[in-house]
Amino acid sequence: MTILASLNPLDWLLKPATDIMDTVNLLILGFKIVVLLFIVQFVRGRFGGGPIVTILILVLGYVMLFSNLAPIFTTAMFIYLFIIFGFSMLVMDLAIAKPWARGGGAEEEGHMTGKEYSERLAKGRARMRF
Amino acid sequence: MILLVIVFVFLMLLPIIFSEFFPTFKWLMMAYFCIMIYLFVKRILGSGIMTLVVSGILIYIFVYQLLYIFAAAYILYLIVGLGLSGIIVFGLPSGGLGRKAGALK
Repeated sequence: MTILASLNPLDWLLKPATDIMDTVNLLILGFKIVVLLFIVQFVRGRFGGGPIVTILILVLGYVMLFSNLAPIFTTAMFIYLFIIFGFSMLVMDLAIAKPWARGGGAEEEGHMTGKEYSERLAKGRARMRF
Repeated sequence: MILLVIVFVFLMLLPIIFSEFFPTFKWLMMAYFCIMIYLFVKRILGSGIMTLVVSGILIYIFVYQLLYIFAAAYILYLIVGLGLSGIIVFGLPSGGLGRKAGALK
């Protein structure tokens, strides 16, 4: 009975992905479907509809997702999505601007106490008088 | 740097924490993701049976099986897409809340 229950396709479908490899494989499958949708959008945007366009979509989908060149195209697509979603700006901010490494005089000026601020105002007023 | 990573990870974990404490939030989040995925597929494939099939597959993968991963990624996408990352990245280290400048160095 247990063997029959495990062969039930509904059990397999509703089983949550607990294994790490199951999760990774599902992620890759989902990513491939999203890439296929992007291919459809690109080809239809360029060439319109029709049977030849459908064949072109199938060929491009096979070459980019399932052939020997799939790792190259998938990596390129991943980097492309990474850039268009704006994650590259976050990486640039963190790597080049190095916000945590800032500081020094300009920063110190921005964090004056009330007393320092009133002294500075008084100095300015005195300078205006003379 | 470590503080920034902690803040980003905390923000990404927020939907998961909310889902654990408020189950209604989880159902609302799932409904929102379903609608979002359906509209994304409909924009590309148009109205038809293929849209329903592809949406179903994507919803099964991203909403039923990988909800927490997808929610965390979506929060990160929102933070970056709406430009809130600049506020977090440049706002946190420069102080605020009475912290002395350069304390994170």
